[in-house]
Amino acid sequence: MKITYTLNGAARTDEVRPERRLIDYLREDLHLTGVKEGCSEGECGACTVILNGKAVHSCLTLVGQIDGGELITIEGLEQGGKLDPLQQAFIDNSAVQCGFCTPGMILSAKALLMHNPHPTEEEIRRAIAGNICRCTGYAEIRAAIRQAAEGEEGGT
Amino acid sequence: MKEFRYIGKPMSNDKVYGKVTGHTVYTSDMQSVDMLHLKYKMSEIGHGMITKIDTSRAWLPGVRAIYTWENTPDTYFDRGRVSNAELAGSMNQERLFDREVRFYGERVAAVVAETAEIAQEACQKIQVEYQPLPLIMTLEESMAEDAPLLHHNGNIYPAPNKPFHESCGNYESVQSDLTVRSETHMGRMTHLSMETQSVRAKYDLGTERLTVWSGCQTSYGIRSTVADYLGLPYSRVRVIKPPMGGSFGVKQEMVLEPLVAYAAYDLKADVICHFTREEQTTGTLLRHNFDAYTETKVTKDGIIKGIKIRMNLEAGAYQTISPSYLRTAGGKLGKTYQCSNIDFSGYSYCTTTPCNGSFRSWGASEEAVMLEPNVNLIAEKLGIDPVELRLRNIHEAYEMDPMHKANIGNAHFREVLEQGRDRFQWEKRKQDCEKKNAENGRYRYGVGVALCSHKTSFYPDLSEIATCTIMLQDDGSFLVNLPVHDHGCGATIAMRKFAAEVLDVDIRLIEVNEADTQYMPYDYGCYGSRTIYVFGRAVIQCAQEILRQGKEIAASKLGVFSTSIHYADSVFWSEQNPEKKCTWKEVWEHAIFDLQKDIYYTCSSNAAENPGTPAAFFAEVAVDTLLGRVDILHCLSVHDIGKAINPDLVHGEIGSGIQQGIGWALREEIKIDPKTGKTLIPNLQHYEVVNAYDMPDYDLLLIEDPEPTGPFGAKGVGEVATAPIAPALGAAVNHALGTHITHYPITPPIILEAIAKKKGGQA
Repeated sequence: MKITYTLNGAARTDEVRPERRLIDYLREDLHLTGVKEGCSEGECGACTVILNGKAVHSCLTLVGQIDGGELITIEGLEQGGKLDPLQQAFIDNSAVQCGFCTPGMILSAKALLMHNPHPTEEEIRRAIAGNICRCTGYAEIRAAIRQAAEGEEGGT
Repeated sequence: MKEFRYIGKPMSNDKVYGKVTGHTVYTSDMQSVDMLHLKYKMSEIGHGMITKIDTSRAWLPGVRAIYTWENTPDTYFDRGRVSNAELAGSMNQERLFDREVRFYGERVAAVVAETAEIAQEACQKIQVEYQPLPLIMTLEESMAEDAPLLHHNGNIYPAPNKPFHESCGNYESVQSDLTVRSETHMGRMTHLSMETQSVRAKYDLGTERLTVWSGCQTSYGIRSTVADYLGLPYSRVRVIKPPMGGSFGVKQEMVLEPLVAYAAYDLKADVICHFTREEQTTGTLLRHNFDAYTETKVTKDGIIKGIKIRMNLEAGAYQTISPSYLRTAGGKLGKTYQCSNIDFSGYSYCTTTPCNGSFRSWGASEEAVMLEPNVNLIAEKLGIDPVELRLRNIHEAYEMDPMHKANIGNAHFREVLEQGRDRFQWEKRKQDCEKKNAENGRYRYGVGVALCSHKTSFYPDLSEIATCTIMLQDDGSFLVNLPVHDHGCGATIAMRKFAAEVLDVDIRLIEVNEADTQYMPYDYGCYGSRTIYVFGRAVIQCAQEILRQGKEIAASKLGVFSTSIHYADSVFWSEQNPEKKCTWKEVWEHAIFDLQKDIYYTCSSNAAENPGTPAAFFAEVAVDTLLGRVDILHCLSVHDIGKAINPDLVHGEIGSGIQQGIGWALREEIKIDPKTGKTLIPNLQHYEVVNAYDMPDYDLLLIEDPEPTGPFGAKGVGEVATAPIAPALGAAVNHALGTHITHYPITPPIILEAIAKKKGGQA
């Protein structure tokens, strides 16, 4: 099957087996290994990508589903040598330890802020409830998301 | 006192750019054009003999090798050792493949193929026939005279009816007013490191070397095990530690390395294996389940005169490190309280269940959850406040740990308890809970506290050596080669801070290389909370010598006495003539071109100390008596940390300790079906890990009085962070309900059962 979609802002066309898992296509064919595999069943959130503005598990998504869509992976957040405010906030708030959950965590937060630039604490907790971090107690991660949200208020 | 330039400053993590952009390459991310993939077939029986393995249908196109017990060496290996010298004491029960299957999910065959999908499909096509044998699911079954022997050295460590025993003083002769008895039952849990076990091994025919990449805790242990297994000289096996996606103990042991290395060596190829979550849960190791009986002898004033503990630790199908784990749990009983009559004994026993093994804190959590509920019971029986009772029994600074025979150093149990009590508002919260409970509503409220300690080095059990090399580069930057294994919690950035602080240079000029056995001196590995304390000392010692060399060469360059050289922020100058100055770059040039001497230094530091790390946890909970659920309303961790090198990262690290402690105490359990031996929850779908929604806000109090022997005063904290959580939460639940629950995790059914029992008792 031929798919045409937008990957991290650039149009792309590929010949794929539509039933292939999106995570395998991204990691193995496109070498986008920022997409992590932690459980293979949509429970840990490490494989999160943003498809059409929504955070989805790439382990439960098939490649055929991205046809005509817009896909963002962690590799696409840094623009022109400038980190996304969320990436910078994760650094500033020391929200990264082993880092394996970080790409999925940032993308879940990104999807939240795309639709809800000023989330409440409750909304932040809910948005990342599907992303497991075993190295922290989530406090720094939540602080980073708050910082990014507050920063955008005064920005563009 | 001069203010530190880097020590104690929040600077986020090392290599954090790569982690937020997805560019960091973990072992599981490694790819190469000719990489082969290894998958293995898991047994579908709990115990039995393989009578037939039919691989004929599994030779799919792209399959390169199929391994079973029939075509692999009949050679044992030990997944827990850290050097060749440990070979003698090891239980050595594991082989790559065994004809006897000892647990449900054990590897019975492996396929190496061009893609992971082909390897997986081929595994499914392998037909295995078994002759079933009886399951062994309990200590009694394992110890029975007619029990089938799982191993050549038996089912029981040390031996049936001859428990391991370690003591100090004389418990039996202790006279007391009161004897307090308690029990602890603890279930299994999984580490849940986010990156599952991933190992890559490549045999290079050009150099005739085997390289192993593993996000592990002990590169040298892996080299020792793998090279001995393959009969290769250690110098031709290179183990590299790439970034790891969490460990918590699960990557301390060599679960996959021998198999993947064997395949790579056999096929002269590049082979990777990346576990699925299900393989991770059953095929690596779990946190030990155990049963314990605790007895204390106490005076009517609440002074604990004697402690006796019997612990039965389930090892699972292979002993692996469990005997050592048992010994360690007992050995940590003298770290917190002054009591000098301690009697510990127990067994580590094999059953036909998945292996249990190393978990963060290695016995300190177990020690706390065996002893602390008993301490709370003493408080209850004598009508003494639990904090006050502890204050009457704690070690003071510089006392001896009677079990470990090591001085506890500048350890502040009193401050931890007293400052924690004030900050938590213990009295007020306790009274408020009791007031609310008087209303007899659906929710009951309680507070709990637990105290514990841990270690910072292997002293006096092992010589506590760590080795560091620092090399000045021609642009004035520094390479620090250190066989360290950063788990993600900030070891590398701490080492950079140590070097930059001593050398007084911009930290961006310091680069730390982690463990690589080909280019670095030996090290045991990063566990036992020794990393900051032991490696930190080595880095400081090494950097001091580099600075001394720098001053000497600067003096030569400037034509002055080295005693008159001053130095600050990368500039050397002469006291007599401040105009005469030079930089590290110029020092390097003078050294190389004029003196024919490179500037580098390697030194080993020896830590002949093992300071204690007091920690307390205070919690307030609400228990829903209808549903049996526990809400943590407020909690506080207090740590005597000496000096926080990374205060920002340590907050997250302690949060992780709380998160895992909550899981151990209240939620997370891997159950094994007693009828089949099958792991009932092998994936995350029904596993109750604490997520961002459930995680309570936590308060943190760091007691920072520098430990004189520590690097800039620092002590370890990574493991002790999780040790006091479960007993404190257990105490809070029991305070809320007026119960004596000792069965962990304290899940809703356990709570409802305890409530029903209490009602029944009252009726």
